[in-house]
Amino acid sequence: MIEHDVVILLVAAGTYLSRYLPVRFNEKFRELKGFDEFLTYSSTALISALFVTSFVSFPVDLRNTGIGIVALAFVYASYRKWENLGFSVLTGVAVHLALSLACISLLFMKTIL
Amino acid sequence: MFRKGLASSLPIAIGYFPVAVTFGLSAAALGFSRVDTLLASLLIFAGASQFALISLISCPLDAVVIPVFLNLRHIVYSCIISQKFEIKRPYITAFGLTDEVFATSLKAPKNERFIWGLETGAYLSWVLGTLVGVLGGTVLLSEKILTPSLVFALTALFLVLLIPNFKGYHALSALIGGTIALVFQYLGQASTGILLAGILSPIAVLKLKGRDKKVVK
Repeated sequence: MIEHDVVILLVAAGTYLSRYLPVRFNEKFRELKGFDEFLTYSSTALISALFVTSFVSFPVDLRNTGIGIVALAFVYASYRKWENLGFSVLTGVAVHLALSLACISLLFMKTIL
Repeated sequence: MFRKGLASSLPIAIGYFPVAVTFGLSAAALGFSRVDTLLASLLIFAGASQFALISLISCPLDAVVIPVFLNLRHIVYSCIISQKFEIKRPYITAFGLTDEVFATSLKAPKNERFIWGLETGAYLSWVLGTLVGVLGGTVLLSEKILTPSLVFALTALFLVLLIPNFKGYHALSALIGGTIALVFQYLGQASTGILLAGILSPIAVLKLKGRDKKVVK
């Protein structure tokens, strides 16, 4: 439908401009005193916020949260040990999957018994 | 450098794929044509906004304003990237600056081509995932165990990017930012929380830092 296409185009334009304009006019921002330090702390806060929003959802599901916490512990440990971003992420995914399968198996066994 | 960026995009691509499949399926369920759904992923390339768009399409004004508002945090991302990198082709680099690409870029070599590699891998995964969803990803997503584990890749990625910041005032900034995000997540306003975390946390940290300096003097 044409209405859908117009909405998609407008959102695409808005999204692109919010990403493009600050890069295009970055010279203006560089002139601001103390802006570098502000941005350094801002980037840390943003990553932390992204982490929290991707991990926590309400209402809290204890089983999934528990699996997530254990998997994150493995991610943390593997990154501390090898400092390899990709490997650590894949370790987390593998542990998450293994724990999810284990939980499902346990529930299945309980149902049968 | 482009290839290095492409290789580094793997964790992002793993996380994006199932979300993109879900987007394709949801859009189809809400009456979007296959072409429109693909067009959204090809042109917008912003997960939360695309989901907001398809769910609000019954009111076209909301379907435009709310997704754009959700993306205001990208202004902060772009500001940071433009300060850290020498951007020669902003019209290309800006297009794929998603949450995950931004976060990964911060710990990356200071080269614009590296970002392009990251963006290309993430973009291909997003578009391909949407295509699979549009063409009938029901079978793929019926595996309820696999999907959450693949999506977990994004959480793991953010943690790995956060670890080097667990020191000094950066730890404080992370704590404040995380708390703001958590509160707004609870209120169902995750994007607003992210935006405010990026603005309010550094203000609070810089104030505390200034106060600490005065005390030392």
